[in-house]
Amino acid sequence: MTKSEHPYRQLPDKAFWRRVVAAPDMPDVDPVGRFALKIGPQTRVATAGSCFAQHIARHLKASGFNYYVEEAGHPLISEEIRTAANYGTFSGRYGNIYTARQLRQLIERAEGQFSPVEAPWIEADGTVRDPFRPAVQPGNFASVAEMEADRRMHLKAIKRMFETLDVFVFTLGLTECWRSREDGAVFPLCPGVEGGTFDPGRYEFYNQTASDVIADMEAVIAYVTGINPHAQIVLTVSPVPLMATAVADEHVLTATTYSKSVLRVAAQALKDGHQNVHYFPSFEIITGAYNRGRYYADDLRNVTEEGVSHVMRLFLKHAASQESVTPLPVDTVSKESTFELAAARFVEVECEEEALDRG
Amino acid sequence: MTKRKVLIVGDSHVYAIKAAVDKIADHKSDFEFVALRLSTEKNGTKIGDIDLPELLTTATHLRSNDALVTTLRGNEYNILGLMRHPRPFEIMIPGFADLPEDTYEELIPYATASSFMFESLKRGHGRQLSRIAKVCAAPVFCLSAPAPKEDEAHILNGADTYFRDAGISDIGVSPAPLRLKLWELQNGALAKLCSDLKAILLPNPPGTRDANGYLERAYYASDATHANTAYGGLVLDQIVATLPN
Repeated sequence: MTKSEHPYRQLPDKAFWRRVVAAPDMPDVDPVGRFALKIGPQTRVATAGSCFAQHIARHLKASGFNYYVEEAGHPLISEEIRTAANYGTFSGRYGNIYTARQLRQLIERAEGQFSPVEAPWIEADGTVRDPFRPAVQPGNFASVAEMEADRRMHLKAIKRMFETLDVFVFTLGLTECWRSREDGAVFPLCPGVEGGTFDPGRYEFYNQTASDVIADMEAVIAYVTGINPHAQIVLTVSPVPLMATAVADEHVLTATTYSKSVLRVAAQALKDGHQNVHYFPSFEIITGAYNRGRYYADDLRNVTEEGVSHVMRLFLKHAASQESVTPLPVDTVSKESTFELAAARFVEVECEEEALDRG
Repeated sequence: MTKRKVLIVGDSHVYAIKAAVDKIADHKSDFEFVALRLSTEKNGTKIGDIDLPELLTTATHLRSNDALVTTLRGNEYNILGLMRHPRPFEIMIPGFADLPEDTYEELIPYATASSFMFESLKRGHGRQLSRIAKVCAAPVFCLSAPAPKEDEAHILNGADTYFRDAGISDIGVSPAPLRLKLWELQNGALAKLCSDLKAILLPNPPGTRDANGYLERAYYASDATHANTAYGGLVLDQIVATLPN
C-alpha cells in the first residue's frame, strides 16, 4: 500500500458523511445500506410496535402492499367504525406494543404459555379494560365476560397471524416499562394512566437493558421462525422520543437517548445474528442531522407526514420487488357483502310485501 | 270541540297501526288518528301516502296539544341479523344470555356494535326524524319497533319470495337470542337518537312481549318481521295513555 492509499479510498460514497449526508438535498438522503428483503404485491406484511408503526401500517396499505390484517373485525360493521375501534390499526388488535418484553409476552399468552394474574380493570362506570391493551376498545368492554371472550378471540388471531404472515415488521419503541411485581407481566401503559389503579406494592418500573431486549427478541424470532420457517422479520426503531421518563432524576432527553440507543444496538445485534432479520433505518431517516429537525412536528416529538413519506419512499425503493406494487385487485363483492346486500334487499322487499297481507 | 290530532307516520311498521285506525274509525274519541305511510320510490314506482316535504308542512301546522308519532324504518336489526351470517357472530350484552362460544366465530364488542347501530340510524332515518322534530309544533314520539319473533319456523314460513329465492332454508335464521340482542341495540340507538332530538321514545305496548322479551305470538303478523292489527290497536291505546289531558 503506497503512502497515499488507505482502506477508505476503496469505500463507496455512502460511507462518507459529507457526500451522502451533508451534501445531498434533504429528500435525496438515503441511509439504507444493504436491504436484502424483497416484498411483492402478494407478500403478507404484518405490523406491530409503537406509535410510529401505525404510520408504517398506514403507508403499506396505501402503497398497494398486501398489508395483512388478521384481526380485522366483523365485516358486518362498517370500516369506519371498525377503524375507530382499532381494527386494522395493526395486523392484530393489540394496540401499541412498545417493548420487546410486551411482544414476547403477547406471544406467550397466545400460545397458552403465560397467563398473567392481573385482573381486568373495572372503571367507575362499570365498563372494563383489558390491562394489556387498555385503550383498544372505545367505550371499553361492557363486562368482564366480554373482555375475556374478546381476548380469547384476539389471542387466537395473533397465533394465526404469526402462522400465516410472510413478513413481520416490528417497531421497537421503548425500554421503559411497568410490570407486575407478582409475575413480571408488562403493561403497555403505567397502570392508573389509562385505566387501572396505580399501586406501588403491585407494580414496579423497569428499564430494559440491551441484553434484555435482545433476549426477548431472540425468543420472538425463535417462535416466529419455528411456527413459520419462511417468515422474514423487519426491525425498525421508533424515532418518537419518550413522552416522559420514570427513571429517577433522569432528564427525558438523556432517557430518550438511552432508550433509543439500547433499541438500536439490539436491532443491529439481532440483524447480524439472523439471516431472516432485517433492519430498516427509519430512525436514522427521521433523526438524522441532515434534515435539521424538519421531520419533527412543533412538539419536537411527533413525526411529520413529510418525514414518514421519506421513510416509506425509501422502504418501497429498497423492499419492493421487481413486480410493480400496485393496489391489489380486491373482490368487490365478498361472500359477506353479498349476504348483506341480499339481507338488506330482503328486508326492503319484505316490508312492501307486508302490505299485501295485514295481520 | 276540535279533536286533538294524532298523526302517525312511518314505513312498513305503520301498516299495522293503519289497520287499527281503520277499525276504530267510527268510535267516539277525543282524538283524530291519522296513520300514513311515508312515500318512497321502489323500482320507479311511488308508494305511500305522504312525502317528506308534505309531512314537514303538515307537522308545522300541528298544535301543541296534538302529537306526531313516527315509526320510521325499524328493521335495521333484521338487516344485520335476520339471516344467519356466513361468519357467525355474537354480541354480549349484560343481562342477556350469551351464545355458546363454539357456535360463533367472532365477537363484536357491545360498544362497537352500539356505535355502529347508532351511526346507522343517525345516517338513515335519523335525518328524516331530525327534520321532522325541528319543525313540528306538537310533541314528537318515536315508536320502538315490535320485538323480534322467537319462532324460527314462523320466520321461515313467512319469508317472502325473494327471501326464499335467496336460500333462507339453506342459510337459516340467526339464533333468536342474537336477534333479540340486535333489536335491543337498535332500541338503545333509537333512544339515544330521540334524546338528542328531544323526541319521546315509546316502548312496545305493555303485554306485547313474552317473558323472554320476544314478541308475543298473539301479535305476530304473518311475515317474519311485522306485528299485526291487534298490536297496532295497543299502540293507539298506549299513545292515548301517554298524551297529557
